[in-house]
Amino acid sequence: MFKLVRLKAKFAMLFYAVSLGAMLIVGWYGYENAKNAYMKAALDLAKGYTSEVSVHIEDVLHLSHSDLNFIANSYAVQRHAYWIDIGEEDKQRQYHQIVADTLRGFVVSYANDFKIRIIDIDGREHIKIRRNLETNLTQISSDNELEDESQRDFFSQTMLLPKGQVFVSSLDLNTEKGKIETPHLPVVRLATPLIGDNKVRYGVVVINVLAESFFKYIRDANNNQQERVFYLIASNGDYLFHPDSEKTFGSLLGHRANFEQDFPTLLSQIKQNKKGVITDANNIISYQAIYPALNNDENYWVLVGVVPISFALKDLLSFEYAFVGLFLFVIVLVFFSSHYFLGNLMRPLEFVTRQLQSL
Amino acid sequence: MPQLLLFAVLCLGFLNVQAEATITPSEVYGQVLLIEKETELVKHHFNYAKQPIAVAEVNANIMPRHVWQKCYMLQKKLVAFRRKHQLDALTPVEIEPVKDMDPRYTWAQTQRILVEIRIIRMLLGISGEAGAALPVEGKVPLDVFNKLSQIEAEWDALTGADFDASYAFGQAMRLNEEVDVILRHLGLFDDAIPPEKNVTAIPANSLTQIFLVLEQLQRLKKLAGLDIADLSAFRKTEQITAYDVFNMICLTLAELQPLKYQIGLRHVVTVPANHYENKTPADVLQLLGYVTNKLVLIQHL
Repeated sequence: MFKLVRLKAKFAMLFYAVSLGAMLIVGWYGYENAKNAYMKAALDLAKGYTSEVSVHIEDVLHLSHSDLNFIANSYAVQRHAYWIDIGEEDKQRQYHQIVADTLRGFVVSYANDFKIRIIDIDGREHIKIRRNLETNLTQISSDNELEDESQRDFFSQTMLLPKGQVFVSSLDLNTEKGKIETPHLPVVRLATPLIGDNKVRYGVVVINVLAESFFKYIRDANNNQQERVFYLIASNGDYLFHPDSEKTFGSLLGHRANFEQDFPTLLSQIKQNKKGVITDANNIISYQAIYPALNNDENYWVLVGVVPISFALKDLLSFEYAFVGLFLFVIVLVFFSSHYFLGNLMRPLEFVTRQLQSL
Repeated sequence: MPQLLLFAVLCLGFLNVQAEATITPSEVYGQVLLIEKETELVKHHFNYAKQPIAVAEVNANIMPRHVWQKCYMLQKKLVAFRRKHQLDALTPVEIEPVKDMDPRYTWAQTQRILVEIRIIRMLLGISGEAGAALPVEGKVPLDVFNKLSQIEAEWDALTGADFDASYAFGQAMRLNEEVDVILRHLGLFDDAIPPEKNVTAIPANSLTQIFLVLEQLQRLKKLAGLDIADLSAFRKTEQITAYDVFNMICLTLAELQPLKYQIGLRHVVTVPANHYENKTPADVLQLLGYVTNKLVLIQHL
C-alpha cells in the first residue's frame, strides 16, 4: 500500500512539477517581457517628450536669433548708427524715431520678446523698448531710464564677436538699475554685434527673451497623469524651471535647492552626454542638452524628464494579479484533475495488487 | 469804333513794353565795390585795420552760378557775424535750380548783402554813408568772384572766430540732402555706406574728398549732356584750411544745380544749412565720403 501510495504521489508530484513548472516558466517569461515592454514604453515616452520640449525651446531661441540678426542688419538701425558716427543730430533723431517705432512694433508682435535694446559702443543703452507685463503695452524708455551696461557680459562678450554671431547669456532674472526686478522675471539675453556694412563696430543689439515663452512648453509637458516631471537645469545644477518656482535660481537667490541635491550623483552622469536615459532605483531619467548659442558648446541647459519607475510599471501589477489568480486556478485544477486521473489510473493497479497479495 | 478802341489799346500796350533789364558783370562788380565800402564802415566802427586783407586771387572758369554761390557764402559770414554780436541768425536766401544762372540773379544777391549789412549797421548803431555805386567797366564774373572772396576775408576778420570745420560740415549736409533728393527722384535705393571715420583727418583730406565728389558730379553732368566747369584752380596743395573745404563744397553745390534742373528737379530748392558746432575735419571727411558713395549709386539718369 505504502509503495502504491508513493507511486501515486510520485505521479502526482511529476504531474504538478510539469504543469506548474511550465506555467511558472511561461509566466516568468511573460512577466519579464511585459516589464521590459512597460519600461521601454515609459522610456520612449520620456525621451519623446524630452525631445519635443527641447525642440520647442530651441525653436523659440532660433527665432530670436533670426530676429536679432534681422534687427542688427535692418536699414534704419544701420543708418541710425551711421548718423551717430557722423555726428548729425537731426538725422540721428529721425532714424532714432524710426528704429524705436520698428522695435516697438517688434515687441508688440512677438510675445516672446520682453525688451529690445540698442547699446552704443561705450556700453550705454541708446534705445530701449520694454514690455509692461501687466498691461502688455510696450514703451520706449526715456533718456533717464537708459542704463550703462558696459560691465555686463552680454555687452563685453558680444563686442568681441564677429558680425552675425549671437551671444546668449545665462538664463537668469531680469534686472533694472543693477538689481533683480521683483516679481522675479526669468529672461535670457541674446545679443549680436551691431556692425555696419563698412565693417565699423557701432555697438550691440540685445533682445531679452521671456523664459516663460519656452517654460510654457515644459509646463504643458508636466501637465500629465503619468507623474512625469520635467525640469530645466543649468550646467551647475541650478533649477531654471521647476514646478515649484521657489526652487529655481538657487545660486542667484542664495538658496540651496538644486538638481544635485534632489537627485544625488545624477548631474555628473547627465553632463557626460548630450542626451540619453538613465535609470536609478526609483526613476527613469531622460535628458537632453539644449544649446541656446549655436556656436558655444560651453553654454548649455539640460532638460530633464523624470518618470518614477513605480508609475512606469504600474500596469505590470495587473499582470501580476492576473498571473497569480491564474496560477492559483491552475493549482486547484491540477490538484483535482490529477486526483481524479491518478485515482482512475491507480484503482485497477490497487485491485491487481490486492489479488496478488491474497494469493 | 470797336476796332479803333482795340487799336488804341494795342498802341498803349506797345508803348508800355520796355526792354528787359540786362545786368553785366561790371555792374555787379560795381555793387560788390559798394559792399566793400559798407564793410569798410563796419571795420572802421570796430577799429579794424584799414588795409584790405590780402587774398590770393584764383584764375578759374568762374560762371555766374559760382558768383551766386559766393554771395551765398558771404551771407553765411554775415550770419556768423550776427551770431557773434548776439543777433538772431538768418537763413541766406536760396534759389530754384537753373541750367544757366542769369547774371541778374547775382546782382540780386549783392542787393541782399547790401541790405543785410545795412540792417546790421542799424542794429549795432554803425553810422556812415557808403555812397552810390561807381560805374565800372570791363569786368568778368571771375573779377566779381575774387572781389567777393576778399570781402569774405574781411568779414572773417571782423567776426574774429575761425571759420572752422562746422561750417564745412553744414554745407556738406546740404550736399548730402541734395544727393538724397536726386536718389529719390531717380527711384534709386540708397544703400550707400559711409566710410570709417578717419580721426586723424585734416582739412587737406576733406578737400581731396570734395574733389572726388566733384568728379562724380561731373560724370553725372556728362551723362546729362551738361557743360563742366573747370574748378581745378581751387585744388590747393598747401595751407589748406576748413575755409577752403567750405568754399569748395559751396562751389560743388553750385555745380549741382544745373544737374537738378536737367533731371526735372526744377522747383526743389537746396535746404538751408543748419548750425553745427565742434565738428572736426574727420566728420567732414566721413560725410563727404558718404556723399561720394551715394553718387556712385547713380549710373544712369
